[in-house]
Amino acid sequence: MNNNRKNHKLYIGLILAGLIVLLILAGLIRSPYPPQKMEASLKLAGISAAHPMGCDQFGRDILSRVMIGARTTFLIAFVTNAIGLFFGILIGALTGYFGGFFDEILMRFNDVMLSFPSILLALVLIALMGPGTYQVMIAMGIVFIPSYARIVRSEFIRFRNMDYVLAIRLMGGSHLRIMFLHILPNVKGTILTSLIIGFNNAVLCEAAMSFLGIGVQPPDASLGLMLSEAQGFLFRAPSYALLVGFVMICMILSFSLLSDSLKEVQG
Amino acid sequence: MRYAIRKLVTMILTILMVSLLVFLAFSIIPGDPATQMLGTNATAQKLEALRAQMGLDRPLLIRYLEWVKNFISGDMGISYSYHVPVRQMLYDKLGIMLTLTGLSFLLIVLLSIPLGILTAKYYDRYFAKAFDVLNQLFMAIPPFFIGILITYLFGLLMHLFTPGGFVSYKSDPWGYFLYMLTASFSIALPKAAMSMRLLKNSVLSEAKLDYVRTAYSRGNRTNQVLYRHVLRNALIPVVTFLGMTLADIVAGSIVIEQVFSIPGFGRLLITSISNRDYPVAQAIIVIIAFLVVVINFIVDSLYPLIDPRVKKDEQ
Repeated sequence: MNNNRKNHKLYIGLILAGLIVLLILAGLIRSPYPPQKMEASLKLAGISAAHPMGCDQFGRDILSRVMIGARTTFLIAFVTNAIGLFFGILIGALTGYFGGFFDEILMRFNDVMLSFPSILLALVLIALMGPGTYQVMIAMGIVFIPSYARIVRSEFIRFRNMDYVLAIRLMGGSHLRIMFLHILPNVKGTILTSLIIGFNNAVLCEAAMSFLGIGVQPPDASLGLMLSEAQGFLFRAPSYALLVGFVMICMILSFSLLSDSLKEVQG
Repeated sequence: MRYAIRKLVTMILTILMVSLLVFLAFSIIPGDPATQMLGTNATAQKLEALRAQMGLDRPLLIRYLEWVKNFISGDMGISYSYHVPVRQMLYDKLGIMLTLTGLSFLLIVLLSIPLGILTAKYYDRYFAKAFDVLNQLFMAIPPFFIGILITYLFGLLMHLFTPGGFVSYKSDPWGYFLYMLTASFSIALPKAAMSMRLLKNSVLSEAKLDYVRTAYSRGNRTNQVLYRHVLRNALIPVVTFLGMTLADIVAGSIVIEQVFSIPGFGRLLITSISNRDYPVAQAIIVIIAFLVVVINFIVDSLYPLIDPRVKKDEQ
């Protein structure tokens, strides 16, 4: 019974993720229309065979824009987590493995960052760098470092005094070798689960920032930016906001279903 | 007692560190506030005079200490773009943020705890399973999209409220309350779904433990075991979660204010950042951080009340 439900989650998650990936790949190869092409006669046109998702306020094909918007969102989530994970592992590994004064200072700093709402910190960083796609990646990447550092650190503390680590020390293995060739592979599972959650958070955070107008800037498209544009035409073209929101929900749902089933397999 | 003092010191240090970070961040931002205020046509002498008047010619550390000192005494500086004291601008907006955060939190608790208990108690019924699916879905909806959906369904289709029709507390308290309540739902629903699922799982896993069987064997009925024994343990992770969520709620309110056109902290923060009106932005961020840290502190101090074992460990 339980096993059955687990599989359901995995399958639905995989299907949704597959659809999103398909959408992004199709957009990479060829979108139905050029995503920036405006057509005055098609302003806020409804759903039709030629435009399966309708057109936006400038008469641009929404499906084509969703394709590149989903890609931008996905790319931002990817780079953000890559930055967060890289520095998170570096900091978490060093502090967790060696401990001591340095660890104490860095972890207090980490606590401060964590007690701060992440979007607020991203806002401060955006104020420093100005809005834009790359700036969002960097700002969010920095914001994501502390949570990864904390997870990696606690895992390293758990492993650093294990017998196999001591055995490698006796065999003359260097600290760096132990940290990255022996302990890190054991932490992989934990990192993977938190990575999926991180992806989700990144999608949400990007959407919120673009929605506020400090993220991706027009005429570029991202799901959050499109939603914020669509909100203004909620009465005249409700399908615009609803469809873009639906794509975003599918993206987030697929990650959370995958992370759930992954956790159930692990635990 | 030592536990409380240590927490208090950590709290003060955190707030100081946040304020220093924010101050430094806004000081190294390229662009000169004096040029900002006088425009690019101003003469060099005028600029110099204004910089001296604003204290921008002094070292950074001195300026930080001065700022902290003024901040504590309630003087948050003067807005670059509106030329009025920041304090005056923020005064009535703080109430909006607190209402929004408070209502959202209340909604999360009121929705998730009864429903969590109910679905855990009847976990094999169909309605509990339907709630599982619903939960999974709601957790995946970004709060601002829930806001858009609420605006569309209840505002534009059913005409239950006027989208964008924010009224201030002074002119219409009941209208204000209803509007804020509508907005709060969009913050609360995804979080309520998470907290409900957490509570349900936590009750179900507690129910498998030996002490529950013991309680039954002593002749207790299901409800007695559930409310007296299981729930007391099962609520602990939920309280932790709720405490952690508060920061998210505060942050969420920034976005939700934008969706519902509520003239609160969030909108002011965004405009002040894009206008480079840093005294305002600084003040808002520090106040929000202060709120979050204080709330965390309160949650931490309430912890031993719910779970007496925490206190023992600390001693």
